[in-house]
Amino acid sequence: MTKKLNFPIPELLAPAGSLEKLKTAVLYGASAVYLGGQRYGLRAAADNFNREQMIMAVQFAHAHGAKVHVVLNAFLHDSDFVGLSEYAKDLRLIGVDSVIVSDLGVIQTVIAAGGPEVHLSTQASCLNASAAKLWKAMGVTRVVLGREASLEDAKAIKLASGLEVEMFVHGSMCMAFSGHCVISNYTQGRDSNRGGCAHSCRHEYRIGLSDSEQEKNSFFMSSKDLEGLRQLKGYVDAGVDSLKIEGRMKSVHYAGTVTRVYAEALAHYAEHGNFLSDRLEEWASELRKVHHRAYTEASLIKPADESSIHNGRDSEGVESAVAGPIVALTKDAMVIEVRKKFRLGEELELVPFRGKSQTFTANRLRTLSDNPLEETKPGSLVKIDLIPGAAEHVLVRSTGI
Amino acid sequence: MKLTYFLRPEDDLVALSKSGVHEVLIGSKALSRLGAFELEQMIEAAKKAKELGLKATLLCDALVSERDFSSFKKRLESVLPFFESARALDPGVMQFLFESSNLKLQFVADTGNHNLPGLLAWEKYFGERLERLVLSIELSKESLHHIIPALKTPCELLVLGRILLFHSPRNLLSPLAGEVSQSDWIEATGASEESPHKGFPLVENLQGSFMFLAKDFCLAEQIDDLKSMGLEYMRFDPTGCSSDLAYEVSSTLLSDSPKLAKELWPNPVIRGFYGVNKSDVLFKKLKNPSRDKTHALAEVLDARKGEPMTVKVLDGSSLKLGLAVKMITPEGKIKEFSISTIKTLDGEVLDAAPERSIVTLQAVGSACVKALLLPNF
Repeated sequence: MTKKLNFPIPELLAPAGSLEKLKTAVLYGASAVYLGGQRYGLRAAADNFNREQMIMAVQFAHAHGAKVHVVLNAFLHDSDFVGLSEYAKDLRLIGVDSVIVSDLGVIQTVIAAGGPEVHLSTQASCLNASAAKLWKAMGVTRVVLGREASLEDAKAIKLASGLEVEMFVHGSMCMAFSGHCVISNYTQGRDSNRGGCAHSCRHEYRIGLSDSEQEKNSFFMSSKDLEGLRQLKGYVDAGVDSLKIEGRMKSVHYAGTVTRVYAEALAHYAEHGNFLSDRLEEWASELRKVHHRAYTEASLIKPADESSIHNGRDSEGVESAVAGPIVALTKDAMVIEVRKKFRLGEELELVPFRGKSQTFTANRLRTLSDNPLEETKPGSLVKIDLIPGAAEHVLVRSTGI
Repeated sequence: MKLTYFLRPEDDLVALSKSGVHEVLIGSKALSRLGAFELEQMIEAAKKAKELGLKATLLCDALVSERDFSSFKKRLESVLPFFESARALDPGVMQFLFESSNLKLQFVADTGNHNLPGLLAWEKYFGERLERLVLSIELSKESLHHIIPALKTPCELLVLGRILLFHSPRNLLSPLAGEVSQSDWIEATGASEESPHKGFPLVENLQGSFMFLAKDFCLAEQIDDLKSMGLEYMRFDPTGCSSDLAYEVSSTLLSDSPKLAKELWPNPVIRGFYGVNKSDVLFKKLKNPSRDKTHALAEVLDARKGEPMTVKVLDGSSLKLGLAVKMITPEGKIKEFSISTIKTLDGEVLDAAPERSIVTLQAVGSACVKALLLPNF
């Protein structure tokens, strides 16, 4: 529990795939962010943070009361250790609050180097109190539980181990026990546990059952996305210390929207001691406005069953409605980086960092040279007349889904 | 080198002992990922193996959630007296065995244990109780050469058998199986839309769902190499072949011509990453080199034909009038020019733009969103 409030609430840990996403997540209410450096992480295709960006990330986050956790969660071969000790020392120097590690060799190296405190990554598939005790003996201060763990499991593991417990509350999930899938290694020559996961579990397979002549096509290894909104009371009652949102590779819109929903729900709890808000349906609706597969509560209450399989392509069930984030303000306009096309006269929605969204009409669209526009095009910057509440990093959405 | 054999209920222990096998791994449906014994049957097999002079090792390599841990422990405790050694994968199961039994321990250090510092740490933690480290088949020959001699603990490596690709706790086949779904063991094959990958063996059992590579792993031709490294145990997983053939393969692996085992084996085989593990070299190709911002000064945010170009000055950089720059589009197209105009978004003329500012420059032909401006020395 990180905040001293009437009703203490867990840390809300948001993904920060870039400095822009980090700022967005923090401004929308994240109390901590996690990000990757240029090496030792699991998102090789991402931009990731260089040293200068990491310094800025820490400065920005700390200035807003948020912590920064850096992922070093690849499973390393001996040759990958070059520079790790120095890197760990430097992270501490920069002010990083913790590192998230899955490999025992990395844990040992970070501790020996005097690096930041170590949290055990979900990749290590810590599923029981006995394992947590072992990892505590190895020097970790927090375990990020495997996504197979239930809220009851989390409570028992925390009580028995005395460690902080972090659990995923939202986002995509591996179908496999995390860290126990090497499909990409053998089919693509890319080590899934060193950042090369090719997401083979999301593909369609033709299945021939041994006792049947019939073959069936199925996305049988693709999991629905986790949504823990309606189980937040369970997380709090279990004493979960940190609620993690998955998605470093996802958009600014995702980072802002999902963070905002959970931050508002936790703020409601902090004030009232319950999650019985009349905004619950609104929050749930917000979570359907970001890129997602169908949602499931996975194993939070009982082991994930057949209903947790997403038997379809990624794009199904997606209700993306982002127009773009505000990237700058001028004297008379907000400058929006357009992510989805919208037209003159269209109804838009300004999503403030806190509180209800504000609807307005795009009754004047301009290029940055003040030439009038009839419609926008993704990837461009456009000016819309300034309205109250506009600020850099605030999201603007189209309402017509 | 001694041979460790993954025992199946249909195998004949007498025949195995005659083939020279040193140790049998006995796994039950309740305690192991892929063992097929019932608990009582497993106890009988352990007793018989001991009578025949075979080392019987309890395979309890399931991954166990907290909700199942208590019942798992009870089942485990009921069979521990019949074994002298136990092999686990879940660190929690290892910890339980470490604290609550006197058994010698074998740790399955496969996925995620690919370096000496980590393996030495396991060795130090379990101390004298650690009888063996089961190494990962993702380790290359070079790594094995480096790791095995540096460990005090005897090591084991798979030399012939299935390559496990994927393990999920969820039941993924029974939803497709209809009536067959009542069974506690479902087998299937899968073909991915990612051509040409097909024929992946699939299993669903009490421990979840598993997928294997269509080709098996075989180091029969490298056994002399492995001996020279100091490897003490080789493992043979006979799944996919008859018992009679399995005994013959076992004898062959222990013979002076172990490479003949490869010819006996009925399935196609690979050496995996034994020769070299380059499974990280493709990573740099995942990134577009034209999008490498390491040396970039600014990124183009907006560009329209004939209109000033809008850029964001990147962290730690600045732009100034007269600066010679090179613009690289995401497609790799390069355009060189000097900065002649800098304005704020409100039109105020500037001499320079600091880091993180968004400014407009003069119109530049072929400019496009996400192009990068680099210094042009």
